[in-house]
Amino acid sequence: MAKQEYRTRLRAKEKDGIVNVKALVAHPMITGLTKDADGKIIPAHFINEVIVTANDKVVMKALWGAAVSKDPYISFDYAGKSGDVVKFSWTDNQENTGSADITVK
Amino acid sequence: MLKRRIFLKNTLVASATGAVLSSGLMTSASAKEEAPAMNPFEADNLKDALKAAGITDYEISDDVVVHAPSIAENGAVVTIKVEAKLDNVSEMAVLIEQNPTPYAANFFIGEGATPFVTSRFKMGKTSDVYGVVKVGDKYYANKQFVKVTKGGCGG
Repeated sequence: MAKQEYRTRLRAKEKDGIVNVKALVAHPMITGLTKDADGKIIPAHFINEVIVTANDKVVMKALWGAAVSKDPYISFDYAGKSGDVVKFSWTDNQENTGSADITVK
Repeated sequence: MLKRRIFLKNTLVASATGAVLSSGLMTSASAKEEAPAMNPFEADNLKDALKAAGITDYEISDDVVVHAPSIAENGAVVTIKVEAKLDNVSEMAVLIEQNPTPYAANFFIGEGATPFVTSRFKMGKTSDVYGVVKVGDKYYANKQFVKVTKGGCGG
Protein backbone atom coordinates (compact mmCIF):
# COMPACT_ATOMS: atom_id res chain seq x y z
CA MET A 1 0.00 0.00 0.00
CA ALA A 2 1.23 3.43 -0.83
CA LYS A 3 2.27 5.66 1.97
CA GLN A 4 -0.76 7.36 3.38
CA GLU A 5 -1.14 10.51 5.34
CA TYR A 6 -2.62 10.11 8.78
CA ARG A 7 -3.55 13.36 10.30
CA THR A 8 -2.45 13.56 13.89
CA ARG A 9 -3.96 16.26 16.03
CA LEU A 10 -2.72 17.16 19.45
CA ARG A 11 -3.78 19.56 22.13
CA ALA A 12 -2.33 20.26 25.55
CA LYS A 13 -3.62 22.68 28.09
CA GLU A 14 -2.41 23.49 31.57
CA LYS A 15 -4.66 24.23 34.53
CA ASP A 16 -3.56 24.34 38.17
CA GLY A 17 -0.34 22.44 37.51
CA ILE A 18 -2.06 19.66 35.60
CA VAL A 19 -1.66 19.40 31.86
CA ASN A 20 -4.42 17.72 29.95
CA VAL A 21 -3.27 16.14 26.70
CA LYS A 22 -5.74 15.23 23.99
CA ALA A 23 -4.76 13.51 20.79
CA LEU A 24 -6.64 12.31 17.77
CA VAL A 25 -5.27 10.33 14.83
CA ALA A 26 -7.15 9.84 11.58
CA HIS A 27 -6.51 6.13 11.20
CA PRO A 28 -8.78 3.34 9.91
CA MET A 29 -7.94 0.87 12.76
CA ILE A 30 -8.97 -2.24 10.84
CA THR A 31 -9.35 -5.25 13.12
CA GLY A 32 -8.55 -7.97 10.61
CA LEU A 33 -11.89 -9.62 11.32
CA THR A 34 -13.99 -7.83 8.73
CA LYS A 35 -14.47 -8.91 5.14
CA ASP A 36 -14.72 -6.93 1.96
CA ALA A 37 -17.45 -7.25 -0.70
CA ASP A 38 -15.75 -10.33 -2.20
CA GLY A 39 -15.66 -12.07 1.16
CA LYS A 40 -11.93 -11.65 1.52
CA ILE A 41 -10.63 -10.68 4.91
CA ILE A 42 -9.39 -7.13 5.08
CA PRO A 43 -5.93 -7.30 6.64
CA ALA A 44 -5.56 -5.85 10.09
CA HIS A 45 -4.22 -2.35 10.19
CA PHE A 46 -4.17 -0.59 13.50
CA ILE A 47 -1.98 1.51 15.73
CA ASN A 48 -0.33 -0.68 18.29
CA GLU A 49 2.00 1.68 20.08
CA VAL A 50 1.65 5.23 21.25
CA ILE A 51 4.27 7.19 23.13
CA VAL A 52 3.76 10.62 24.60
CA THR A 53 6.67 12.55 26.01
CA ALA A 54 6.79 15.86 27.85
CA ASN A 55 10.16 17.60 27.68
CA ASP A 56 11.62 14.29 26.40
CA LYS A 57 10.35 12.36 29.42
CA VAL A 58 7.85 9.60 28.72
CA VAL A 59 4.58 10.42 30.45
CA MET A 60 2.40 7.89 28.69
CA LYS A 61 3.01 4.80 26.66
CA ALA A 62 0.09 2.83 25.36
CA LEU A 63 -0.16 -0.54 23.70
CA TRP A 64 -3.31 -0.85 21.70
CA GLY A 65 -5.12 -3.77 20.18
CA ALA A 66 -7.52 -3.79 17.30
CA ALA A 67 -10.38 -3.02 19.67
CA VAL A 68 -9.49 0.64 19.77
CA SER A 69 -11.99 2.46 17.62
CA LYS A 70 -11.44 4.09 14.27
CA ASP A 71 -9.80 7.52 14.41
CA PRO A 72 -8.46 6.80 17.88
CA TYR A 73 -8.62 9.38 20.58
CA ILE A 74 -6.74 9.53 23.82
CA SER A 75 -6.88 11.96 26.68
CA PHE A 76 -4.91 11.96 29.91
CA ASP A 77 -3.40 14.27 32.51
CA TYR A 78 0.08 14.75 33.84
CA ALA A 79 1.65 17.13 36.30
CA GLY A 80 3.32 19.75 34.19
CA LYS A 81 3.48 23.39 33.38
CA SER A 82 2.82 25.83 30.63
CA GLY A 83 5.67 25.82 28.14
CA ASP A 84 6.33 22.08 28.26
CA VAL A 85 6.92 20.51 24.88
CA VAL A 86 4.61 17.55 24.44
CA LYS A 87 5.38 15.09 21.68
CA PHE A 88 2.96 12.40 20.60
CA SER A 89 4.07 9.60 18.32
CA TRP A 90 2.49 6.37 17.15
CA THR A 91 3.37 3.27 15.17
CA ASP A 92 0.93 0.91 13.50
CA ASN A 93 1.25 -2.75 12.63
CA GLN A 94 2.18 -1.92 9.03
CA GLU A 95 5.05 0.18 10.30
CA ASN A 96 3.53 3.51 9.44
CA THR A 97 4.34 6.17 11.94
CA GLY A 98 3.08 9.59 12.78
CA SER A 99 3.76 12.26 15.28
CA ALA A 100 2.82 15.69 16.43
CA ASP A 101 4.26 18.07 18.95
CA ILE A 102 2.94 21.07 20.73
CA THR A 103 3.93 23.55 23.38
CA VAL A 104 1.61 23.52 26.37
CA LYS A 105 -0.49 26.63 26.66
CA MET B 1 -7.72 -19.95 11.48
CA LEU B 2 -7.11 -16.82 9.53
CA LYS B 3 -7.55 -14.54 12.50
CA ARG B 4 -4.73 -16.21 14.28
CA ARG B 5 -2.46 -15.93 11.29
CA ILE B 6 -3.02 -12.22 11.05
CA PHE B 7 -2.27 -11.84 14.68
CA LEU B 8 0.94 -13.75 14.25
CA LYS B 9 1.97 -11.29 11.62
CA ASN B 10 1.12 -8.44 13.95
CA THR B 11 3.14 -9.90 16.74
CA LEU B 12 6.20 -9.81 14.52
CA VAL B 13 6.15 -6.09 14.23
CA ALA B 14 4.58 -5.35 17.59
CA SER B 15 7.51 -4.73 19.88
CA ALA B 16 10.63 -6.27 21.31
CA THR B 17 8.59 -8.52 23.58
CA GLY B 18 6.28 -9.24 20.68
CA ALA B 19 9.24 -10.40 18.64
CA VAL B 20 10.30 -12.76 21.38
CA LEU B 21 6.80 -14.13 21.72
CA SER B 22 6.32 -14.60 18.02
CA SER B 23 9.52 -16.56 17.63
CA GLY B 24 7.96 -19.03 20.01
CA LEU B 25 4.64 -18.86 18.23
CA MET B 26 6.05 -19.29 14.75
CA THR B 27 7.48 -22.69 15.61
CA SER B 28 4.14 -23.83 16.97
CA ALA B 29 2.15 -22.28 14.16
CA SER B 30 1.62 -25.67 12.53
CA ALA B 31 0.19 -27.07 15.74
CA LYS B 32 -2.83 -24.84 15.52
CA GLU B 33 -4.32 -24.93 18.97
CA GLU B 34 -1.13 -24.56 20.94
CA ALA B 35 0.05 -21.19 22.07
CA PRO B 36 2.20 -21.48 25.14
CA ALA B 37 3.56 -17.94 25.29
CA MET B 38 0.66 -15.75 24.38
CA ASN B 39 0.36 -12.18 23.37
CA PRO B 40 -2.51 -10.81 25.49
CA PHE B 41 -3.88 -9.01 22.45
CA GLU B 42 -4.28 -12.36 20.79
CA ALA B 43 -6.15 -14.14 23.57
CA ASP B 44 -9.76 -14.84 22.67
CA ASN B 45 -11.25 -14.94 26.14
CA LEU B 46 -10.96 -12.86 29.26
CA LYS B 47 -9.24 -15.49 31.38
CA ASP B 48 -6.49 -16.16 28.86
CA ALA B 49 -6.05 -12.47 28.18
CA LEU B 50 -5.51 -11.74 31.86
CA LYS B 51 -3.15 -14.66 32.16
CA ALA B 52 -1.15 -13.62 29.11
CA ALA B 53 -0.88 -10.12 30.48
CA GLY B 54 0.56 -11.53 33.70
CA ILE B 55 -2.50 -10.65 35.74
CA THR B 56 -2.94 -13.76 37.84
CA ASP B 57 -4.76 -12.23 40.75
CA TYR B 58 -6.66 -9.02 41.15
CA GLU B 59 -8.83 -7.38 43.71
CA ILE B 60 -12.10 -5.68 42.89
CA SER B 61 -11.73 -2.19 44.22
CA ASP B 62 -13.89 0.91 44.27
CA ASP B 63 -10.74 2.96 43.89
CA VAL B 64 -10.74 1.99 40.25
CA VAL B 65 -13.49 3.67 38.32
CA VAL B 66 -14.51 2.70 34.82
CA HIS B 67 -16.57 5.41 33.22
CA ALA B 68 -18.51 4.10 30.28
CA PRO B 69 -22.02 4.66 28.98
CA SER B 70 -24.48 2.10 30.31
CA ILE B 71 -26.04 2.01 26.87
CA ALA B 72 -23.85 2.49 23.82
CA GLU B 73 -25.84 3.20 20.71
CA ASN B 74 -22.92 2.59 18.45
CA GLY B 75 -20.55 -0.20 19.39
CA ALA B 76 -17.93 1.06 16.95
CA VAL B 77 -17.18 4.06 19.11
CA VAL B 78 -17.54 3.67 22.86
CA THR B 79 -15.77 6.21 25.01
CA ILE B 80 -14.24 4.55 28.03
CA LYS B 81 -12.49 6.37 30.81
CA VAL B 82 -10.48 4.59 33.46
CA GLU B 83 -9.55 6.39 36.60
CA ALA B 84 -7.71 5.17 39.68
CA LYS B 85 -7.80 6.84 43.05
CA LEU B 86 -4.57 5.16 44.01
CA ASP B 87 -0.94 6.22 44.22
CA ASN B 88 1.96 4.83 42.22
CA VAL B 89 -0.10 3.40 39.41
CA SER B 90 2.19 2.03 36.73
CA GLU B 91 -0.17 0.42 34.27
CA MET B 92 -3.82 0.56 33.31
CA ALA B 93 -5.40 -2.02 31.06
CA VAL B 94 -8.80 -2.03 29.43
CA LEU B 95 -10.49 -5.34 28.71
CA ILE B 96 -13.80 -5.86 26.98
CA GLU B 97 -15.04 -9.29 27.95
CA GLN B 98 -17.22 -10.16 24.97
CA ASN B 99 -14.93 -8.87 22.23
CA PRO B 100 -13.22 -11.40 19.95
CA THR B 101 -9.99 -10.38 21.66
CA PRO B 102 -10.88 -8.91 25.07
CA TYR B 103 -7.54 -7.26 25.76
CA ALA B 104 -8.10 -3.83 24.23
CA ALA B 105 -5.35 -1.59 25.43
CA ASN B 106 -2.67 -1.13 28.02
CA PHE B 107 -1.52 2.25 29.18
CA PHE B 108 1.80 2.69 30.93
CA ILE B 109 1.56 5.65 33.23
CA GLY B 110 4.79 7.62 33.14
CA GLU B 111 6.33 9.75 35.81
CA GLY B 112 4.15 12.68 36.75
CA ALA B 113 1.12 11.40 34.91
CA THR B 114 -2.11 11.01 36.78
CA PRO B 115 -3.84 7.63 36.65
CA PHE B 116 -6.60 8.71 34.35
CA VAL B 117 -7.05 7.92 30.71
CA THR B 118 -9.82 8.30 28.19
CA SER B 119 -9.98 6.52 24.89
CA ARG B 120 -12.50 5.14 22.46
CA PHE B 121 -13.02 1.47 21.80
CA LYS B 122 -14.97 -0.87 19.58
CA MET B 123 -17.38 -3.24 21.23
CA GLY B 124 -18.75 -6.18 19.30
CA LYS B 125 -21.70 -6.64 21.64
CA THR B 126 -23.04 -5.98 25.10
CA SER B 127 -20.32 -6.72 27.59
CA ASP B 128 -18.65 -5.95 30.85
CA VAL B 129 -15.74 -3.56 30.50
CA TYR B 130 -12.87 -4.13 32.92
CA GLY B 131 -10.32 -1.62 34.01
CA VAL B 132 -7.30 -3.26 35.58
CA VAL B 133 -4.79 -1.09 37.35
CA LYS B 134 -1.33 -2.12 38.44
CA VAL B 135 0.12 -0.70 41.65
CA GLY B 136 3.49 -2.17 42.54
CA ASP B 137 3.01 -5.92 42.16
CA LYS B 138 -0.71 -5.86 42.80
CA TYR B 139 -3.63 -5.47 40.49
CA TYR B 140 -6.88 -3.73 41.24
CA ALA B 141 -9.85 -3.92 38.96
CA ASN B 142 -13.37 -2.79 38.48
CA LYS B 143 -15.95 -3.24 35.80
CA GLN B 144 -18.83 -1.51 34.16
CA PHE B 145 -21.61 -3.11 32.20
CA VAL B 146 -22.17 -1.61 28.77
CA LYS B 147 -25.18 -2.50 26.67
CA VAL B 148 -24.50 -2.18 22.97
CA THR B 149 -27.55 -1.67 20.83
CA LYS B 150 -25.68 -1.64 17.53
CA GLY B 151 -22.65 -3.83 16.88
CA GLY B 152 -19.13 -2.61 16.28
CA CYS B 153 -18.46 -5.06 13.49
CA GLY B 154 -20.68 -3.88 10.70
CA GLY B 155 -23.90 -4.47 12.65
